[in-house]
Amino acid sequence: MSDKLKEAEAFKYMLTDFVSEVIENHPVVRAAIKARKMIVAEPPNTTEKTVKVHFPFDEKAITLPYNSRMPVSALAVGKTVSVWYSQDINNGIIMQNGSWSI
Amino acid sequence: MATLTPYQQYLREVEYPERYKKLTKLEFLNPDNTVAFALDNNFKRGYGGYADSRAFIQDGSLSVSLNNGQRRKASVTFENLDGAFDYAVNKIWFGNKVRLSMGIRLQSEQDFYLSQGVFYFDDPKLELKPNSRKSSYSLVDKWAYLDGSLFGKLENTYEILNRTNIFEAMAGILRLSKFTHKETKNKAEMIDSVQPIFTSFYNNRTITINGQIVPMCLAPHTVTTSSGGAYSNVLLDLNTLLVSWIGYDETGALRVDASQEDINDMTKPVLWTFTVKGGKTTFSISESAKPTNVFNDIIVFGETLDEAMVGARATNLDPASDTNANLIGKKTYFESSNTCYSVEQCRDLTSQYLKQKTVLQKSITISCPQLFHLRENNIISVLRSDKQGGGLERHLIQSYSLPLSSSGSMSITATSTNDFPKVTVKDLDLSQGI
Repeated sequence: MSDKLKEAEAFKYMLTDFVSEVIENHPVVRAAIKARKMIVAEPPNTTEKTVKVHFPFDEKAITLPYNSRMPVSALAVGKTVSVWYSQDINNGIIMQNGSWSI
Repeated sequence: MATLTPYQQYLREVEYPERYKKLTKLEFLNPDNTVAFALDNNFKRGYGGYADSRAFIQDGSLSVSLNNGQRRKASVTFENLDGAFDYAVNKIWFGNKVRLSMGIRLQSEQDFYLSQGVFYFDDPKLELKPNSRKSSYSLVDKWAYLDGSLFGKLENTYEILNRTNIFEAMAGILRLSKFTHKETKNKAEMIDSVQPIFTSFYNNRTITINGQIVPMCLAPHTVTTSSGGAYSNVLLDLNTLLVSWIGYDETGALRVDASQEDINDMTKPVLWTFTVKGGKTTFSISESAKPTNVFNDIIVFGETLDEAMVGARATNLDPASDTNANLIGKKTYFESSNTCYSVEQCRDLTSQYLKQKTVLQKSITISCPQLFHLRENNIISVLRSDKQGGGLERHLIQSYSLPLSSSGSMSITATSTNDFPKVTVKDLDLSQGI
């Protein structure tokens, strides 16, 4: 491998994590709406319109509000739902079921 | 006559690099941070005048920069004839830590060292030739165990509940076990067993949220980092609540310093004074200007818990500043911050941004003989006999690098504190507009 290519590889190794972190923490990226799938952990609280959900294999369940158009059957324990969030996951709302239909 | 302490002797003798012998030491640490053994740059440790074949530090460099996150990186090359420092299990492997120290041999024949950081090994390389066997490593500071690069990411979603003490939450991250990812009392299992150092700046300070007075060191809302995120994400989110500096210091302790204290750089002690011509320490200086990075008017909006928006605006109206808004016009920087939840936070963030963005364009780089006591976010001064008036200018160290060997100069990048303006901050009343 030529010297220039070796140097480039070394730079790439050094910079990859740094660049990833900068992109991940950029205000525009953090403010963007992102969607992730989670699993319903407990039956929904229909009064407060919230439900506990967790990521697959994650021991921690968090309580999030859900879209009032979702039928309660889509929020049964074990069902996969789609969570839309901005910044952090606790700033999210369960918008749809896991197949992206209400 | 009072006896000088070793540090005072060092400060007197380090001005004359031609008179002292530079020392470099790499101490390999046990999991509980005691020293297992040390390696230095002395290649004549043999018996009866003959050099022995044990490894020694041949070459390398250290670089430090002021960041929230990783600050210290080094590179080191060993003459590794006996293979004791190969990258292999039972030799150098995952989780092995070293403390890098540099210093001088004092005239009193005492070896004086100053710690430069505690590091993990990364990027091993072995170079084998008929007459030499070298191993080289990158050394990364302990933040690498938090940001997912040398260790892993969060196994489960990590939640810090509303009104939890922020510093206790930060210390709790470090006490997690490397093996179970749950809190442990076993120091050998902890991600970092060294007690972190937290500023006392926030201890008696309060903030107003929804009309309630809340201590600043309590989390104003639940902070959540989802599984797959880095441990450092939790720390950085907590750090943003305080608008402070976080990173590992030269002793290997996680340190949180209040950036509000930075606003008063004029009161910080000076670590060294440089001169342009002759005198204490000769050096070269280069100044650079980046006008595109100048902003003298900062607007930050934040979100509060009751969905109302808060904001603040900091403007450089200081007539003594070269970049004040009445001189060059308002050059506005705008940011919307998800972690600003109160007017006081927006105020602090706008002031910090204004300080950084007004002066960044006037940075200086100093090339000088090696000094081992300089630290990032501290002050040096330069006697500018080349300028009319020949005054003493104070600068805040942003970054520096120095070689591990005795030859080679040190390079320091600093920003001028003389340019830090008096800040005019206005809280934003959104009903009235900006």
